[in-house]
Amino acid sequence: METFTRLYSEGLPLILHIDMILLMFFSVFLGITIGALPGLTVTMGISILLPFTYKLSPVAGIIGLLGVYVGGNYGGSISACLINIPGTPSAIMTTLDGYPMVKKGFAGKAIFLATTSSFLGGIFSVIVLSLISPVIARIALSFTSAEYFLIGIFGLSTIAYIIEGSFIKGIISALLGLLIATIGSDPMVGHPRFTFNRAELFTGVEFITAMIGLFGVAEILLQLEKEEHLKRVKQHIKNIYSNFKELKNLIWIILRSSVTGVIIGAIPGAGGTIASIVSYGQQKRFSRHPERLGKGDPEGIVAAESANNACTGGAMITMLSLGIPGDAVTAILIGAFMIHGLRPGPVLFKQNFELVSAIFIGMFVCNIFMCFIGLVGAPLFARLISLSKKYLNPAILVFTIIGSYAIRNNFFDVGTMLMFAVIGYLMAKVKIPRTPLVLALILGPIIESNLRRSLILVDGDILLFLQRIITRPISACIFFLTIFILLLPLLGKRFNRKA
Amino acid sequence: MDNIYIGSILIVVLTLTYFLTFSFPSVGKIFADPALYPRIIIFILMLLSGITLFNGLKEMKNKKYTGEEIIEKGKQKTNLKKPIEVLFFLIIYFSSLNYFNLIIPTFIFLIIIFMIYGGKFRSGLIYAIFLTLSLYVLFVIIFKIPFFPKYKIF
Repeated sequence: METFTRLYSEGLPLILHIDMILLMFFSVFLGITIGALPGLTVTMGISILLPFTYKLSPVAGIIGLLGVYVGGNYGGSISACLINIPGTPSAIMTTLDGYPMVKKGFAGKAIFLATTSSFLGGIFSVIVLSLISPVIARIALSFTSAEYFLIGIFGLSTIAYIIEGSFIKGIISALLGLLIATIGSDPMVGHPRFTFNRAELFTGVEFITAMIGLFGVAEILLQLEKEEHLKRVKQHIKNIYSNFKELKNLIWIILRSSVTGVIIGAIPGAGGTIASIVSYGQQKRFSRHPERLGKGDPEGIVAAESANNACTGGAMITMLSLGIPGDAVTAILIGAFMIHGLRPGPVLFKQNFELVSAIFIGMFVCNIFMCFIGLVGAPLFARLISLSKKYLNPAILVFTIIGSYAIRNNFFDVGTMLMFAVIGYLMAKVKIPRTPLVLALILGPIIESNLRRSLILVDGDILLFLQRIITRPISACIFFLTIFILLLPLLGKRFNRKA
Repeated sequence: MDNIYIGSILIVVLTLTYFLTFSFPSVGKIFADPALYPRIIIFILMLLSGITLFNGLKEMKNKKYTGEEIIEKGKQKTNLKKPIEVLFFLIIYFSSLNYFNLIIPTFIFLIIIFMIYGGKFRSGLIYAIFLTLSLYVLFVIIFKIPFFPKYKIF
């Protein structure tokens, strides 16, 4: 309890500044805009904005991006409700009931329910995050290098399994990321590897530029293949605030969906889309009137939206307490920490408690702003949705070039970014998921250095290494879970054949 | 067909990468060598690439394309035109920053991309002027990002 109180007090002086409050307000607004515009994803938005946080203080930079994350996750629901196109993939389930409700003439009600349930889901997840992550961080302080190595491998295998598409392709993507992460000086003996005598590569591939290429430019190139004509929003958004009574009846659904969202968010690679699908499925099972779902039922909107936004806190649990990213967005957020010379994980709680506290308070405030901006600005966002891509995408492309350059004022990084854009584009064309590669880029150095340290400790004796893993309860748990996940596709095939 | 491409390209690239690891020095103990970890990854990747290639060949043997699928493939090829154009202009834009500083390349690049997206030249001109000036104020004046071209022409 004392830690909980400290978490919500020590960071206050860092947050209670007019410039910080304005920054949070602006970043949430930007996030909602990014989320609401079909084609722009939160991952893409955050990866493009990341280099510009370099000029800000660590607290301002990280909280600014968190504001975009919180706002973006909600923003997708606006276009999902109003034009039946989810602005972000995680808003897919919101379209099922949001759009039919809008078609019935209740646009205000749909926006109100999506906004308030997103807000409540988000707040719930922040509370859970602040209760759980200090405990995990304390346990993680006793982790040895073997445990860190196993957590890295576990994270990657879960992501490869959960992510859409073939499991083998997911693993290939993760391994390619691990291989790219070996570029640069060797972590133990310092010898350069795969650097081709380029001084810029001695510190490794600048992974922020890699992300801008993989998620920013590659996404625009992919969109260019499809001709999309966005519908104009015809509905008038009125009577937004007259639905509080309805919300009261839905509070248990919101709570249950939020719990689902936090749990799924904490699983590496799962993310908001899976959370909203699972939560919607649960609602269908528990609802008294399941036949109403999909026809403009308020229950469907709140179940999907609260779970999807509760994911933000869930994904932050593993990122803050273990330094393991839960999804692509938290992977990029780790980049924001690294830009300022910080590394999320148990040590962050010990050495930068003020910053951790500021992050928690910041997330809380961002959720409040999200609710306010969402309700007040709904008519404005409805207009923004119809904005043509010819105005947006050229500007984004210039941002990606300048952003990659701005990290180290180096044109080599821009070249790296373009190379990753081509890689990302080709990967998407042949249906290899990009997220495992990005996460592997971050986890690569952790996995390699901890594996080699562990091997040096046992003088290269693999059997002794395995024995050490199996005899420690935490490492044994992670080890067997990883093996189970790696075997799941084979087991699944067997069960399917029997069925 | 995708699996055949992935499998064969990966096998070629990985073989080359594997040979590169021989240039890493040895520290006497295998488990501490800088080459060990990349070699393990390359080995597993080779294995998975082999499986992917095998799956691709198996699929190709069993699959017979329908007329609709052939038309769809043709469509996919024509759809590649715009991404390639944008990528080409991105590379030109990035390279020209080295010679002409920020303003001129950005201005021209914005007009070209605006027109690729189907915009008209006149609106593209207004759009490019407005955006270039905003970007200059934001990055050069406010963020103070130094754009020093290597080979300055202007």
